[in-house]
Amino acid sequence: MSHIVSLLLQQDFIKNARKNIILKSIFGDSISIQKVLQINLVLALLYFLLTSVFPLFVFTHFSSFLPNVESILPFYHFILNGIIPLFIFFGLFVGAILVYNINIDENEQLLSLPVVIDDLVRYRLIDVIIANLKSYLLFFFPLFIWLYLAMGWSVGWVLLIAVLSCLLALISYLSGIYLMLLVAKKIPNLSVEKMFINSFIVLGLLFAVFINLFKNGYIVGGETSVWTWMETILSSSSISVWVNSMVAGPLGLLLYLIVLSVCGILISSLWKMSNKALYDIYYKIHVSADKTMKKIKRITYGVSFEKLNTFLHFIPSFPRIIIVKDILSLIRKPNLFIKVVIFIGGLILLINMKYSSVENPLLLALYFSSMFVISRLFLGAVGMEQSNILNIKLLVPRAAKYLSARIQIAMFASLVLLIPLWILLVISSADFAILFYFYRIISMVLNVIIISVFVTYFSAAFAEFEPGKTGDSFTGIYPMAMLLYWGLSFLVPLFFYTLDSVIISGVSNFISTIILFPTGLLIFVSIIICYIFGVRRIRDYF
Amino acid sequence: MLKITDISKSYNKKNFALKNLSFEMKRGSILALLGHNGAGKSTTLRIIAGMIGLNSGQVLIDGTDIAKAEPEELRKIKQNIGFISETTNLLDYLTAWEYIFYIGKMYGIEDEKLLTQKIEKLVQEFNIVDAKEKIIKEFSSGLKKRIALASIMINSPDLLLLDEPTVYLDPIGVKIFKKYLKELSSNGTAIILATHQLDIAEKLADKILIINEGEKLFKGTMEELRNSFDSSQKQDRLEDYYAKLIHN
Repeated sequence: MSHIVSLLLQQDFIKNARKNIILKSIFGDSISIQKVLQINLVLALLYFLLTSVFPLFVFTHFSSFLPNVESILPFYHFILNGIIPLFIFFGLFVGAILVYNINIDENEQLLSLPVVIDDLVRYRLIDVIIANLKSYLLFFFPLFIWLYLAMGWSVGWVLLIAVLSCLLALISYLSGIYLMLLVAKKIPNLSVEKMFINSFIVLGLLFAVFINLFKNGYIVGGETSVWTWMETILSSSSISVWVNSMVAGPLGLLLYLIVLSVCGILISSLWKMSNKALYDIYYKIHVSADKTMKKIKRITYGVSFEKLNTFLHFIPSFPRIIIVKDILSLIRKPNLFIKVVIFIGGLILLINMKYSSVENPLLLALYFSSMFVISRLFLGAVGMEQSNILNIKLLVPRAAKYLSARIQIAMFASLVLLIPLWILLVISSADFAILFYFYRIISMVLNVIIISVFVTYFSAAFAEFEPGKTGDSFTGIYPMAMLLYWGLSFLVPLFFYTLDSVIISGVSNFISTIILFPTGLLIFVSIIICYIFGVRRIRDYF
Repeated sequence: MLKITDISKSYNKKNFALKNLSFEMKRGSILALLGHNGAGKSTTLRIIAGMIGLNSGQVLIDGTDIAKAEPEELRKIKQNIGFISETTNLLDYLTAWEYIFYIGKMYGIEDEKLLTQKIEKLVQEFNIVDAKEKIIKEFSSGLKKRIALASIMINSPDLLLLDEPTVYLDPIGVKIFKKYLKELSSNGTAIILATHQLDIAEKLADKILIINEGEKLFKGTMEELRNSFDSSQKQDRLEDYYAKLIHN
């Protein structure tokens, strides 16, 4: 690593630390590099004690409490077989960012120093590798330890397998980046989106091919249990019977491939066609949403500071002033209020959605693709359209307005894109439990919208909201949000699948609940923290 | 020191930001690069600084073509170039002192004792002593500009590229800046000064290069510019000649 690259990485390190809201609020703005290092070390140690060393200790000393292994197996397979494609996918994405979504402004700033392109590429690459390793060490590594221990493996094997998995993840990740760079060389004008729609279709095709190979007995050996598990899932609903029959033989497979390819072409054409129509509707909605907001604001301004202060007179004066200020800021910013309601409602709905699409691969595929399409609508509001023309201070409030309108658009788009597919599936499955399917449709659409809203907040939380002279500092949002979005779209179903497994295997299986609970809790806590920071950052610029 | 030959640059297929621009510079000279907004001044500086590529032409710095230089060679060339952009994009999460220290390291000053001494001298000279332990983000644009100027002086570059360096500076800041440029120039630094402030250009520059829509309109000394007009059109100030040239 050259001297320049290590300097670039150092400044990145201090930048992240000094922009960290928690660190800033505790240690002030100018926290030193040494302090950041110490804090990180302590936090990492604590984290590992809690997530890795503690379970090692518990399982070594209380092995009689080992859980029912079978109830964990599907989850284990899901993780183990998911890790390679997932990290390749992350790698592909990061490769795409490196090639297509370069933040020109930031890079130019660095190039004005004695930094050459070679340094810049190395720095970016090392930066993404570190980020990936960090996510692996913070999330997947402890998860592996829990899982393997739960399956009754010895401590030595667990550590060995966890380290091997880490290496595997890194190799997969780098292969993904390398693959994307190879492809990118040949197709210089391809956008990240197109790349992802295509890779999604390719992954779908590969999935169909492998299922078919398994059904015809071409896949045998150690991984057979995975395919058996997938087949079981595929057979678990009447919709899947239809898919099963399609992929059962060579003709079925061919048909499936054709359908998927046509769907791929149709989706991108439909997207182009619907884009214009959606924008027309959007402007109409925007105008009406704006009027409604004004009305709400007029009403909320009727609630004065004095009135509220008198009303809450039973609270001591100091916290009362803060509470009154907070209540006023919330009700006088209806956008924010609506979003908070949506968020809480969304959480309740998510928890209630254990029968939703996540159990079924086909539904999962639909879920992913629709989330992709819908999230584009949301990201469009913040990330792309106005970034080049608007001042950042103007952009954020406007983005909030856009967001409220776009929730409605997203609902409309979800209905337009998904309902015909669902009706087709319901009819094809010859299952007339229409109400049940409607429940699934609604829950899936809501799920998609909720995740998309999350994505918007994530993008706000992670983007650099700097009040610069131009909106250029905003350009970094899009890839970051997309990465998070894809991460989320894997993690959320995973969590619900886990939740389902626990419920199915029975609450009496106390240990398995303990094992699975921290994972879910971790995901939810991180979502909530990111949400809060996202809101706060947006609010700061209102 | 610097030789630019027929450089052209386009950001899209239709319009050219620069069209076959050529000029040369010697050590210790100051060139004022003038032109209205979008004339190609910043593009010229960014090409010389190696921040963006060019479509055709050649940029030679001390005889080395920067487009063909190996990374190590180019890094060394860039360590002798100081660049200040119009918008002062500093690493605003660092303190002023840390920023200059960081830039010093970037410019290859490994001896931390020497670096610290240089920084102490610069913070005095650019009047940023009070701000040195504070985060840059909180500073005014003028102070940021002073920090940016101080930071590139850390290595006494051979070639200094300044894009609107006096924007945001208060009169005292401008005075310090002008004094520094004179000193640097007398020590052998070649300076390109892209500016709209023609009075500063007139006072500091040995030569003037006026460009319009990416093309050269005039290059020469103030005297040569005066002589290029009829005696009836002769004026006192660069401002008047500039207006006439652009108008024509």
